Parts: sequence; C-alpha cells; structure tokens
Amino acid sequence: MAAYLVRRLLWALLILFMLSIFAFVMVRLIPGDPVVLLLGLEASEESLVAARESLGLDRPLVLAYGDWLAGIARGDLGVSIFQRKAVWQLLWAKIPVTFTLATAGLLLALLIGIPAGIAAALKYDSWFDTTVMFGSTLGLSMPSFWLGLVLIFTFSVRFRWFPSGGYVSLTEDFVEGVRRLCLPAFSIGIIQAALIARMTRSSMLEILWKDYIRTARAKGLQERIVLLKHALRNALIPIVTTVGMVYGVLLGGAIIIETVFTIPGTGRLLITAVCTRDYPIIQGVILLFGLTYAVMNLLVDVLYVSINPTITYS
Amino acid sequence: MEARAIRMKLVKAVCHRCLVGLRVLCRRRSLLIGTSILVVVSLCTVLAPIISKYDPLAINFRDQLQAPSVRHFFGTDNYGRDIFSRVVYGARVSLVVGATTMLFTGFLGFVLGSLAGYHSVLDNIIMRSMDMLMALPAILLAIAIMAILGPSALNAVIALSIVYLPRTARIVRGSTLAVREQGFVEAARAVGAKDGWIIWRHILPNCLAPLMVQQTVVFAYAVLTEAALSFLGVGAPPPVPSWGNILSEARELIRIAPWASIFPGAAIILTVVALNLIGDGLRDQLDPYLKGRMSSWDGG
Repeated sequence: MAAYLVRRLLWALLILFMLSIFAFVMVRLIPGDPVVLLLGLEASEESLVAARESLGLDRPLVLAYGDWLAGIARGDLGVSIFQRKAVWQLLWAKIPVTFTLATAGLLLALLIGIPAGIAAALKYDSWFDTTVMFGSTLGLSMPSFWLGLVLIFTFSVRFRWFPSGGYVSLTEDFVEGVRRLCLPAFSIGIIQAALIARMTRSSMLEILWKDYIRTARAKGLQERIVLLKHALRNALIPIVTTVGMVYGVLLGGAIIIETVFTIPGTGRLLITAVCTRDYPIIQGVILLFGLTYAVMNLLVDVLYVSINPTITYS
Repeated sequence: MEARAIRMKLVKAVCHRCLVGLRVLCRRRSLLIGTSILVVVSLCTVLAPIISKYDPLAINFRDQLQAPSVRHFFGTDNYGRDIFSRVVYGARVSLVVGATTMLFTGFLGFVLGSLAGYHSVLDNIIMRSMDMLMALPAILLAIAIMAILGPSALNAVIALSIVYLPRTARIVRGSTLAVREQGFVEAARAVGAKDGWIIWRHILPNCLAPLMVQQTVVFAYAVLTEAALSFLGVGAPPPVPSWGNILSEARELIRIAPWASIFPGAAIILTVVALNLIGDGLRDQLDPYLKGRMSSWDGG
C-alpha cells in the first residue's frame, strides 16, 4: 500500500511538472504584450523596455521557466503584472471562495445523487426509476450557467427567497453565507447529482443480483442491513473513484457560476487575468487546479482501501 | 453487363444496410427519439432563412423587450432583435462547432489512441500527455487555449478538440490493447502485414463501436462547453449569434425579460438531450455488455 501510494505520488508530481511546462509555455504564447496593456499605447519605448526588464519578461523562455520553477519550490508563484501583488496572496484570498462553492456543490450532489440512485435501483423499471433516469438525463444536458440564471429569476426575482449574488464567508456570517451559497451550489451540484444518481443506480443494480446478496437475504437478515451493509458498501466503490473527478468538474463549474452570481472567486480572477494577459495569475490558477486534481485522486486511492479492505495494491 | 450487375449489387447492399439501420432505429426508443430531435434541430438550422422571418442581427428599438407572442415566438431582446431567429441561427454555430469537434477528436483520438495501444514505446509519451490534459477541468483548459488563439468559432473547435482528445484517445487505446492480443492480429502480423494495414483493417473496425458512442458524448460536451465559452466572452464573438453569447447578453435582462434566457437555454438542453439519447441508444445497440456499466458522462 505504502509503495503504491509513493508511486502514485511520484506520478502526480510528474503530471504536475508536465503541467507546469505546459502552463508556462502556453501562457507565453498568448498574443498581445501585457506591458503595452499595463502602460498604455502612448508609453515610450524606453519605459516599455524598463517595465519588461523589471517584470522579467525579457528573459529567455528557458531561464524564465527555471526562475519560475525555483520560485514555486520556495512557495513563490510570481507577482501579478496588473495588481502588483504576489500571485500566491491573490490566490490565497480567492481559493476559499471557489473551494467552498465546489465543496457545497459536491455535498449537494452526493446528498441528492446517492439516495436517488439507490431508490431508482430498488424500484427498477418503475415510474420512479423512469423519472429519476429522465431527470438525470435532463440534468446532465443542462448548462450550469443557464440553470443559475433560471434560479436567480425564480428564487431571487420572483419569490425573493435568496440573494441573487455575492459572497459572504461562512466564518464571518454562517447563515448569510449559506443563503448566498444555496443557488450557485445548487446550479453546479444538481448536474453532478444527475451523474452520481446514474452511477449509483447502475452500480446497485449490478450488485443486487449477486449471490452474496441472495445469501444475506436467505439467512434472514433485515432488508435494511442487506442494502446498507452488503449492497451499498460495495456499490459505493465505483462512486468513490469518480468523486475526485467530480470535484474537478465542480471546480470548473465554479469558474463559470462565479460569473453568473458575481462571486469573487478564482474563476473571476482567471477571466480577468485572461483579458489583461496577466501571465503569472493564469499560470498560478492552472497549477492550483492541477494540484487539486492530483491531491483529490490520491485521497480517492486511500479512501478506496478504507471502503473495501479486500482491495490490495501491488 | 458485369458493371451493371456490380452496381445493382451495390445498390442492394446499401438499401439493405439502410433498412437494417432503420429497423435498429425503430427498435431502440432512445435512439429514435434522439435522432428525431437532432434531425429537427438540424433542419431548423439549414432552413433558418425560411422558418424565421426576422434578421437575427436586425436592431429594432420599437420592438424592444417584447414578451413571446405570435409575432415574436420567443420574444425580443433589449435591441428589439427577434430571439427565435437568433436561436435558430445560433444553432448553426453551436452545431457546426460540436460536429467538427466530434470529427477532429474522433480522427486524432483514433490515431493517437491506436498508436499508444499498438506501440508500447509511444504509449507512455502519448498517454502521459493525455493525463496532463485531463488534470485540468475542461472549461479551464478551454479558456486557457482560447486566450492564446483568440475568440472565434474555428478557434473554439481547436480548443475543444484539444480538451476532449484525451477521453477519445483513452478509449481507443483500451480497445486497441484488447484487440492487439487477438489471434487474427497475430496471424496478420505473421503473414507480414504492415502495422498501418493492421491498424486500418483490424484495429479500426474493432474500435468503432466504443468510438462512435464516445463521439456522440464529445458532440454533446462540445455544444455545452462552446456555449460556456461564448457565455464567458471567449467563444464565438458577437454579433454572430451562438447559443452561449445570446445567453451572455440575456444575463443582464433576467429580471425584466426572462424569455431572453429561457429559450436559448432550452435549445441547448434539447440538443444535448438528443445527443445523450443517441449515445445511450448506440451503446445499447453496439455493445449490450457496456449497457449500464459505462456512463456516457465521465466528467468534463
């Protein structure tokens, strides 16, 4: 197990290293000179050269990459060209917002998706099953930003139950924070709930036909125990493997939904950085999301073993 | 005489194939419904100038923010533009981007996936690059690529093809690995067949079923992600309408003119549901073993 995890860790580091090269080279290919954007078209050639020099934009690509990588090793992601602040500082301020949103979305997805999937599997081929399957097909086909707009219209404009946007930290004011989080988290969560419901259903259906379920029933166990202890525990394994991936998708969804609900998170920071060619921020966001993906997948591997101890890694 | 006989045989074979296809279509309900919806949506885009009487770009301030009516089926926006026309014309961008992405990723995914599956030397290089691309949320990667290329429909195709390539390549690689060990491939190799021929003649036909299923999913994803890119302002630029940029413009109007958002969104959902149903139907038809085991929506 330990050897396997070390191997996975090295693998994740390799992917991150490749991602860093990709992020660095790709971002440098973006057309348009950030210094011109920063100083304006009227700026003199001397001031442009000086600004390029001070920002390190005149250095050869390989050397600049080496500097950047050395900086990352020290926890320094560079300085934002426009905001003149350390990228790490900017990201640190926005990370909790995006991650709170994505985590709330994940919780909603699991809370809705797993029970719906189990119920659909138990009532296989009934009207309930058909409704869940149709609902999940619809959910998976829905753009989250459109759902966000519809929710704003229905619950903010019409019923005035929830605010239409903004963000309040949960540590600052929990109730208001949750109120503001409800609509955006639902917009991204319900789509993943549709995916999880589908997977739970098919996974449960596969397991409910197994011999050991028949044996458990035959020896007179309560149906509740058969379902929760014997069926669900095994059915959860393929679902756990997708949680890491689902979280990645939710982070992506958060980028878009932050725009709809005017939430000041990483997504809004990224879109602004793309518009202003603020390289260090774009690179930082790419690395941050890549790192999250790698960590989530490592966690999934560990979780895998705790759910089913029969799984061994060799 | 002989040529005529061959031609007749060919026509008969094509007709037979068409009949088999139709029979399959009628037997699989999801395939039938999905295909019907997609055909209707595609027809609407082709016949856009006939079915919509307004120019999608024509500004008419006298008809500003009209609710849906017989004159304007889907209402009008703040410039008085007819939303029905914009949705119908917008389908062109969304469907063309989706279909082209599907073809690009299908071709490139097959080439890279089969090479990775067939040659162990190339496997690591290709698949690790694919892993790297998959380590980022699709939308983040697409935004980053669009930032380099600049906003246009063609660039959206390139960005989306890069984003969805790894998923297709993975599936083709998996099938190639399974087929590579089969006796008939070994036999072909033993009689001196070249690698290219083996891939074309033996690997491709055996990868086709999962590839087709995957590509309908890619089509659906591409439609959704293109809409997201346009919504964020980095996809197909206005004034040419696409479903995403219509929604982006309608965002500000959600309080006073909700119809401006509801209809383009409904068009996206309808199209993606259709593609999803086609994917499900194809999977059930082509590989009943996969039914229920493989989710067509493996993230993005």
